[in-house]
Amino acid sequence: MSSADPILASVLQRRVQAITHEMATVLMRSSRSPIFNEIGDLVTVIFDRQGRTLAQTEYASIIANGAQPPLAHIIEYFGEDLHDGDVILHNDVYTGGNQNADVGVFLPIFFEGELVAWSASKGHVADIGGMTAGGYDPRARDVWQEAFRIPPLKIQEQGKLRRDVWDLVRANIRLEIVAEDIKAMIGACTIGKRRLGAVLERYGVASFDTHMDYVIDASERQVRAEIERWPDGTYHGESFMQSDGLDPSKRYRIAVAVTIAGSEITFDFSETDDQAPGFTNMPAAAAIGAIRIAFLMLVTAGGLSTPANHGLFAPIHTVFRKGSLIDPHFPASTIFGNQMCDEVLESIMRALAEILPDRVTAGWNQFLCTALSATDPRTGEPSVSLTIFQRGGPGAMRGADGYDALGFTGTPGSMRSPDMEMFELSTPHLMHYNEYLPDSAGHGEWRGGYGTRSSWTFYGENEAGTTIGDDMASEGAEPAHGLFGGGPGSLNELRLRLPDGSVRDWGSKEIIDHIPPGTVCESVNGGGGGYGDAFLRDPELVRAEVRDGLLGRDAAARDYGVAVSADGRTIDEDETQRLRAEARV
Amino acid sequence: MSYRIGIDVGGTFTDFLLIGDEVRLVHKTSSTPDDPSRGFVTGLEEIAGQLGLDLGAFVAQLDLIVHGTTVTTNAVLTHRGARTGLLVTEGFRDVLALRDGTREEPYDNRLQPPRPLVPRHGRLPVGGRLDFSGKELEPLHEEDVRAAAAAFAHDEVEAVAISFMHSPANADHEARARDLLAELLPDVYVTASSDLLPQVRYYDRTSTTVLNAYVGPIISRYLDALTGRLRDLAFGGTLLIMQSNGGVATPAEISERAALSLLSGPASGPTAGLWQLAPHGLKDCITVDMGGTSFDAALVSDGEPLLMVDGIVDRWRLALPTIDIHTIGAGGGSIAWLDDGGLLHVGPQSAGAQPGPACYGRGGTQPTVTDADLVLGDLGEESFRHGGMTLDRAAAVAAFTPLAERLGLTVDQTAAGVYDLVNVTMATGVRDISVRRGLDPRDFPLVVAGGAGPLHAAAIARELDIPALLVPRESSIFCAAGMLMSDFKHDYVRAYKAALAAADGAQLAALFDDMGTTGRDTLKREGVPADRIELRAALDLRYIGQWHELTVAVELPLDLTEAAEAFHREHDRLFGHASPGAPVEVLAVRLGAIGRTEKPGLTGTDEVDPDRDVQIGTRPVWSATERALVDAPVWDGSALPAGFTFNGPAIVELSSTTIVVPEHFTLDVDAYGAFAVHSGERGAAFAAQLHGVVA
Repeated sequence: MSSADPILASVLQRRVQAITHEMATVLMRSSRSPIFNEIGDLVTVIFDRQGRTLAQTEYASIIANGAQPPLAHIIEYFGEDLHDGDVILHNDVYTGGNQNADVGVFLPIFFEGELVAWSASKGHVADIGGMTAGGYDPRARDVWQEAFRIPPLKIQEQGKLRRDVWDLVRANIRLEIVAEDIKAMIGACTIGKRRLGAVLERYGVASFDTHMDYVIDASERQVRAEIERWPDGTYHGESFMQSDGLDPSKRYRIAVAVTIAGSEITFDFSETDDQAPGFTNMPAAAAIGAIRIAFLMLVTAGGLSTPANHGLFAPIHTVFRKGSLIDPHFPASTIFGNQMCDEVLESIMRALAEILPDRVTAGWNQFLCTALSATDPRTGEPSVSLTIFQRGGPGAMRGADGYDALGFTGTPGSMRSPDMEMFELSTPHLMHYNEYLPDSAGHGEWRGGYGTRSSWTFYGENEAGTTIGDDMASEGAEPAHGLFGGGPGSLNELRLRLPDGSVRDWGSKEIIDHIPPGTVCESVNGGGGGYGDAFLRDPELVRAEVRDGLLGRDAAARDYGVAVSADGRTIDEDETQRLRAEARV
Repeated sequence: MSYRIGIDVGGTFTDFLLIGDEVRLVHKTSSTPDDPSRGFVTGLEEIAGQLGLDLGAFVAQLDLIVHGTTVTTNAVLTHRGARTGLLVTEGFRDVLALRDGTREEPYDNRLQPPRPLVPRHGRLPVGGRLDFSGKELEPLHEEDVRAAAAAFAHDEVEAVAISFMHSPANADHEARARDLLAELLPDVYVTASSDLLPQVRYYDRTSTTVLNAYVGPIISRYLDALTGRLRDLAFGGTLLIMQSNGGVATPAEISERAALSLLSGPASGPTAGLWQLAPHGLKDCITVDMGGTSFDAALVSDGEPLLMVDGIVDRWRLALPTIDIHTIGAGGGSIAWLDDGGLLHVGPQSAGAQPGPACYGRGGTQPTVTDADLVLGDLGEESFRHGGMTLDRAAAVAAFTPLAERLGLTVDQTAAGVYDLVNVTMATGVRDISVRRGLDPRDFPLVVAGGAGPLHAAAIARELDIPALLVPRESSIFCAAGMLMSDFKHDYVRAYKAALAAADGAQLAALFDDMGTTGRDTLKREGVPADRIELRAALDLRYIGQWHELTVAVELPLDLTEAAEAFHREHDRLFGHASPGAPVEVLAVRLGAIGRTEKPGLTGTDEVDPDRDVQIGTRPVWSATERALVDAPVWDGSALPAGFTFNGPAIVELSSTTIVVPEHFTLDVDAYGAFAVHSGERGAAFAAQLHGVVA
């Protein structure tokens, strides 16, 4: 078939999208570790033979890009040595991986003897070897301390499991459930292969290719039309990472030059600081993932809604400087890299604020949570938890307040929080509170999102914890910035009250090997930056937040020029007029 | 003479199915959203008229009314529920607003969180704390409850939800707070989470409890008004209300557990599907219901509609057991449009009932699915004449012309593309509900409902490789029919956490006994005789270390080893693997109390007039293989006798719907007058099962 039928293209797009959706459903349902099926840290993809994304279903945004760069490497690495029934495993950040703990499974799909497509799934596994269970350890100085490296590896060849290879992988991972999760990923890819086979059976390869080209072109045309509306030029933005996990006072600059030329957009991070000695380095694939998240937010704000495939990202070019914080030299450790999505997004939003004021957000509070491991004294069993109920607020944008307690930019609302009762039932901790943090949102005509405050007691045996985060007040970080007159958000705080009565701050990237039972953790996750002149905000919205106990009366008067009665029920109109008029002078 | 009637109040129409000793009557009247009981009574009047009775005489002969209502759903969707307060454990004031931490559209920074049904100033913290096992760490601060009651009184709150941490393990604090409120605020509707849904997951339970309190006064007032009206009409029979779990209950029960009426609208669909197949010994099906704006799919497996406990009402969790119905925004009114990149889309925008599809001639100009059906000849201009409407094909063609020009295709080809695309979308929804359960859709015949369903069902079946579908005569009032076939059903749950191997058998037995007694007492109050009561036990189980549990049916008296084996089997079926050596833990025990109702049987096709012409004529209908309009026969469905059969392509016109029988499909009229449409050997085998059962 030479010319494409636009309707068949639309139909095939739906079908391929549905295949990745079914793959993700199967994977969520069949995986064992909570990070897959409770939190949903995974992606499933169908690629064409060249490794271009045809459709994907993602739950964790930062991983959404994670399957494509390794596939490019796999295709080059194996060349002609690819056969029906092969299954390829991969995690290595130096051959296209975004994070060593994000493991990918790739299946070449053959039709009538010819390689025609790929199915792939990728997800965050609970352990991948290295010196510390779970992988997050600021003391790691190289990739081998962090993970068992898996460059492209055939664990199944022409339909036959390579038992020796499989056993080698299993022998280097602490938890048996990881093997179960990898099996679940293979199962999901097999479903994808089977379903795509049925589509090819029905339409033939030539027609399939022609129409998927049309689908990719359609997405690309739409996104290019959007970029065309953005003024040409080069725009600079920066953001900062505080602490590299070794030296809390160390501050790193992430700098971007965004160049828009017609419908092309280039993100050049060359001016970013040199790589860090510890784990706070970002593999290129993770950085591309973060850039795509920022880009998707910008085009979504512009009203674009188009299938996520190769065409959507075709206008994007990226430049990184080898040896910088982004794309470090081999064999730097990198497991913190996904978390640096916050810094990448922030630098891009800052760079484009002046030219895209109706699409960017003000600064987001940067992520902070703890990863804990202990023995549960109730069962004697190991317990692993990620306290992602600690959530900060995002920045506001024109026309919209920040979404309260949304959390990490890398998974903007796509990862679930552990339920409070389930957390106490399943891990050795007692929660004291987990609520919105009053007075944390940056003021503005549109305010930033509120953060949260949380506290719990540890009673696990042999409990250890690592923090994964930034924006720590105790380390001298800067709060999320406001935009166009909006106020700044607020910082994070984390401290431990030990049973002996002493109190210690917990750094943003710090491992504590021994947390005695009875220790209390107190966490503050700040709010996002505000947007626009707060004195233009509807006074009724301000009053309602005073009444709800989220905003102090003093702050309402000072930051918003709104005088609210002590019970929060009424606005003193005269006083409000006076306050607001005063500000005009 | 005695009658039973199913009454399904929808957004646009109120559907009635009346069944008497020798009468079977389908009726539709316009809904009256401002006071739904008005449309309810108007319909009764109209039916009485058709029977030649006055309203009073008719109502006096009514034994049973089963009623499905959307008043509570509408109250949530429009934020017009009761003014509600919420008591939570101190430290967790925002458990409701925080939900599960997700935002439905990750990249849309303009999307705002849903406005909580209780504002923060009405969500008041109460001191006192239990641990995960229910042990008291700190006594209840009664003064906090009293202060909250004073604040609620001041705000004229009509309902209060109470939800404290770990109340499923120990309900004492909630019970005390509930009793205090009963004393301090005697006229307020109070729901304690441990009374409504004693199971773990603080957000899920709190949200469900808030929904219950928020709609409690609404449904209570509605049911009071309705029973009042019926009393005025000297109604002496039984009024039952459809619940979202697929069962029925008395108004008194629903008033207490008001959230059970949320999502109850389509909940009788699967039961109706089962009713069609059961006489043939069939126990599995997927029911699909396509109306003007949405498409619902639900699955019946081994004679039971599947339930879920993670329902969503307007972005809030409803964790009560609810029929698992997958809804997608695709219907007859869905609008077709082309994006800037050149891809075709159908929906989610809908022309709704006003202005409706272009062919309705009410001012709609956008091309819709119904317009495509008309362009393709699947619908004829006279297909809606029983609804008093002539469809305007020229208007449909005009609506499609700009789209066709942009695509560089003919209007017919464009309409065919829209037809294909919406069918693929609906097929995806059907695949979703089965795959989620580890089931293969090919094993489930479709039972088709809704005015637009039979136009598209064969194409959906073909997309999914499903060999057969069944269109009941009552397809357009499917849910009203299902209501008459539903059993009483009450679901109970109790939290119980222990390793399964170490579980205390006596304690589990006591929990089941306790729930069984409650269930029996409730059914007895509802007038169900003891010999029609069935109890169904289940356990919520998971491997230690997992975060999600599975509900696994068990036999009583409980055998722990068998329960573990059943869990491993279910895990393997759903997820493709099990770990028989791994320890299993219990999180909750469940009991369903079912009161079997008397169900009318299916009746034969007695109204068929042998002298009538079964074929009305022919009309040009789109042929997918010829890629053109080709003349196809049009049959009069109401004239087709049992056992009648023909091959597609063909159209069957019925008063309330139109069935498309595509090429390579065969239609058989079953023993009860339902239409089986099938293809291939597996389809023929299915159809063969539908014959030979005497009406």
